[in-house]
Amino acid sequence: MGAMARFEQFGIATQAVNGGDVLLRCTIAFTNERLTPKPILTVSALSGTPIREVTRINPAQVERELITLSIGLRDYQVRTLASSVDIPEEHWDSFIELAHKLYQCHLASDALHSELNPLVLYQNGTWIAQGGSIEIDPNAAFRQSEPLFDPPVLTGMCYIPLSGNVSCVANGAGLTMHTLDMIVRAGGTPANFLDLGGGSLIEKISRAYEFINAQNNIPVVFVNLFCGVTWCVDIVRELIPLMRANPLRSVMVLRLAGFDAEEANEMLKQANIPNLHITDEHIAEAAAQAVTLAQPESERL
Amino acid sequence: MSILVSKDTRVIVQGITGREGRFYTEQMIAYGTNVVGGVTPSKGGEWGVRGRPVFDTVKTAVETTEANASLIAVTAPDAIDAIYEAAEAGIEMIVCITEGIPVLDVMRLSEYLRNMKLNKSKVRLLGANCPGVLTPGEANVGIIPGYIAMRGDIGVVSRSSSLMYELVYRLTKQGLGQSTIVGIGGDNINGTNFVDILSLFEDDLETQKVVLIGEVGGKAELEAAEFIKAHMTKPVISYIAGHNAPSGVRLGHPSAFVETPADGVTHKTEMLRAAGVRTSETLEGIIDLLR
Repeated sequence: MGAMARFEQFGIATQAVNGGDVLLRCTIAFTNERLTPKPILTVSALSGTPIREVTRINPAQVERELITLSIGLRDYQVRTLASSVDIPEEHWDSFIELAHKLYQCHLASDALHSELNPLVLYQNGTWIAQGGSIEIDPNAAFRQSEPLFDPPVLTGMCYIPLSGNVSCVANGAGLTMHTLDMIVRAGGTPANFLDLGGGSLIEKISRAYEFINAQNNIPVVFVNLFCGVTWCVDIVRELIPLMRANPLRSVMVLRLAGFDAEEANEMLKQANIPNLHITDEHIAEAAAQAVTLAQPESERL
Repeated sequence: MSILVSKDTRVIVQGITGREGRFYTEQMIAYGTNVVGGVTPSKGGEWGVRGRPVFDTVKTAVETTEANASLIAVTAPDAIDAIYEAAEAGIEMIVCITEGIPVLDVMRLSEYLRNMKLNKSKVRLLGANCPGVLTPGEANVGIIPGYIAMRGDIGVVSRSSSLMYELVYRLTKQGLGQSTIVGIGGDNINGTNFVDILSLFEDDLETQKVVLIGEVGGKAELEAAEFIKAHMTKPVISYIAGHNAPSGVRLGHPSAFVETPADGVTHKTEMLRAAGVRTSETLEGIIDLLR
């Protein structure tokens, strides 16, 4: 279901009517944002530009109210905002009614953000949402009846394409960020990153390897893994046959750390895999090695 | 001394008969954690991992075992209910490792916990979406690999679990032991934040230095900086990850998201420095700063 159809379901009019002249255009939105544990109601006298964009660029043009969930949206909060964006007094009640409908829709849909923009008020007092958007919380997919997202190719992992010369693979969001930082610090630029996520790596490593090795035009892949839950040796037992069956198409710099990393590295050395560089556990140095290998040979120091 | 958990902590596992619950219970017991039982509705009366009794409800588990801590190891749709059940049964330390709880539920929970605090309840939630807390040699409540840690006087607190494992492992290799290791989790809204943990480390007799691992997104590090400036006497050393994180992209953690310049690493690092924190540009640098 599209956003507008969803709004209609909650009694918000979205179809143009013959309501006379347009009195005003504005924007209303509910957001469950990152910095506060309360939903935020935002109203702006501007319309057209997404309200989060307006908030970022021109915060003076938006008015906000925080909602305490156990108390719910209160009329006075909507009235406060209505008056501050100069909605004429005689239309406050209908605006409050509309705000409640949107709030119900926002909660029932497990939305992270619900926005009516432009919201148009006609001469005869009718409010029409001429546009709008809704962003559903992916965590709530299990209880929202319809599938919200296509299943990702790399289930349980996070892949982001960028544009650079070193492809970065790590396990865990923090370690992935650190890996990007170290590549940039060494003078390289990340071509993309793949965060394998937490938990056991065994079931993910082969999917990740196939994916990474199918990339074109990336000279170096930097793989930076800390094995907490999974043993390094088990990862390597998984990787070696993969690397034999489907040889590395670019250089891979592999840094493994964890309890049995030394043994795992020794196994890899014995396996003698072409294009594989095994580094010790110092991340900054391993990253520097990856960056050097990504440069054309003539430009290396 | 230590913070949050010790050998006296009596732990139950909610979800003890599930795949993950069983696995982590084994690990926790192997570490020496005092796991006194577990809860799985409809499996009450059975014996769980290593002979630990299974109960249908947290209430009966608490009445029988006098548990005061619970690890929530159930799936996302069940986790929020499990947390309320633990809190209402009088559990004081709730550690939730579950990832992917709907934001709206977490907001409601956050309001509930604030009210509990106002009513002088001692309940504390660590997480959700966190690796837990480990006091070396005493108790491991969560999924932190026990072998990486060693007892000492450094308190460690981190949003990221992977960076925390990496750092603690390296500290231990260098002979730099830890008092307690705490992962507060990568969600936007955490039951326990940096300031809570810094305050506990400041009051803990054993902890002499504190390492704080932050990351891009949100304002937890800025609140930490304010707290450190006003209240901390112990040295704090910090690394903030995500200097080169692309903006507008969520980086694995729901909270690692650059929205405003104040979310960025540079600003956070500056504010921490202004608060007297020694910051490092690399993880390895932290070890040098601790010597």
